[in-house]
Amino acid sequence: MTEVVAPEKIKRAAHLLLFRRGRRPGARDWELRNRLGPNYPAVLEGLNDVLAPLDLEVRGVADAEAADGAGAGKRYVAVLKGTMSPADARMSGWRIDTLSGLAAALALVLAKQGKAPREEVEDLLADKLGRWRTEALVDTFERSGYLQEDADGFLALGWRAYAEVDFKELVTRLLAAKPMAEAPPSEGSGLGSVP
Amino acid sequence: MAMSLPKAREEMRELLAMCRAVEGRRRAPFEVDVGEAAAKAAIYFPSWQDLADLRLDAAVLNGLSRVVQIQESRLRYEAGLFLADPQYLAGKLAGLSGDALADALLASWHPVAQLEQVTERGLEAAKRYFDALLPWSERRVKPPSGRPPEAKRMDEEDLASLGILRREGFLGYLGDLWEELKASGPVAHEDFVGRGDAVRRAYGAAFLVSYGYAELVPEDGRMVLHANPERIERRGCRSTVIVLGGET
Repeated sequence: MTEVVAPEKIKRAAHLLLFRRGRRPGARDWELRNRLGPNYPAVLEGLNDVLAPLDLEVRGVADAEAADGAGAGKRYVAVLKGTMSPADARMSGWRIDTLSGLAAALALVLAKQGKAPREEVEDLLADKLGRWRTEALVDTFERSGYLQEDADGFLALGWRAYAEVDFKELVTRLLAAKPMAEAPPSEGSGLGSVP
Repeated sequence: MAMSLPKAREEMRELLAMCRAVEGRRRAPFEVDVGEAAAKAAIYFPSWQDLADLRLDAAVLNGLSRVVQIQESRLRYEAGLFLADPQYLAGKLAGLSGDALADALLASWHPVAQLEQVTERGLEAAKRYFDALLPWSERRVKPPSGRPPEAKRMDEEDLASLGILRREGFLGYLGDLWEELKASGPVAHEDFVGRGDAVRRAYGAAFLVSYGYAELVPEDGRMVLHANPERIERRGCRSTVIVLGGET
């Protein structure tokens, strides 16, 4: 039987998840528990129903910063349920070379079992994007939470990569993609080119 | 089994280096045959006599145990997520075009939806910025190019306009003297300088003649000053000595 949730709580949950209040978007589990009550998972379900027609959904991701000592904490965020078109991505301020750099960096870290030396990631990206831009991009990916670097100089997937990227889909697409030498002559996909 | 110790040490060092490379993600974990390496270590073990050899043996065993850990997690990883060979994926990335990489990400990317909002802290930062902001009239002025202006010759008028030279100084005095001479018409030099401070007026009259504001013409044994209406260029001047002070 579905639990009935007060609309007021759904509204409050939407505000907590959609309006950015701190460095990271979304809300932590303990925060939701405090503001929405112990039945906050049911409230999030109700919010999901409201967001579904907008192509959005609530997703919980493991968040080391959200751990309260009693176990692994979670951060809940609202994400796009479907995917973005290249034109939408460009409209949102994403450059095509930034997207390709992010894809390559995430895929290499995934291929290395979630941990890859920073130099190796930079070497891969620098080949396509240039050394100077690569260093700036990797720093940007770190700052925005897609990657995180440990004290030994290894890059791992960040909280945002777990929240936003469907790794299985990414790897499947990359494995299915044709390398440049085999690809047919480009007709101009409208995505621009990587300098 | 007969085995030279240096060769055994060398093999153990190579094994250790291989284990470290796997830990550092520079080599694939299954490049190390753990069973074979452990058997080799077991064969060499009775030959070790030095403490350093025993430490090397322990380090190799520790490294092999880590390799086993990594191999186990690799198997779980491959079985649980991809059903694909990660090494193949890593090797393929370099050959993919930027468009292909971006397309793959876009097909698997579900970005976080968030709305920016005005916060108290943001407002404080904005106010600090606004207070420190220069007026538009000052900001739009073309910034200096960093190059000094072109050098040019300056005359007395320019110096006077810059306040470096005062008009009412000696030049002003000469101007007054010239005006007086023009007003009075031709006049004997001694009469002209005798109208006031003779030395100062004679000094000024000498300047007027030297710079072309007046002419000194000998007439009937006397030197007569004629004012020029405009300054004339002097060429081929010569000096003239005029004794002041009357009869001695």
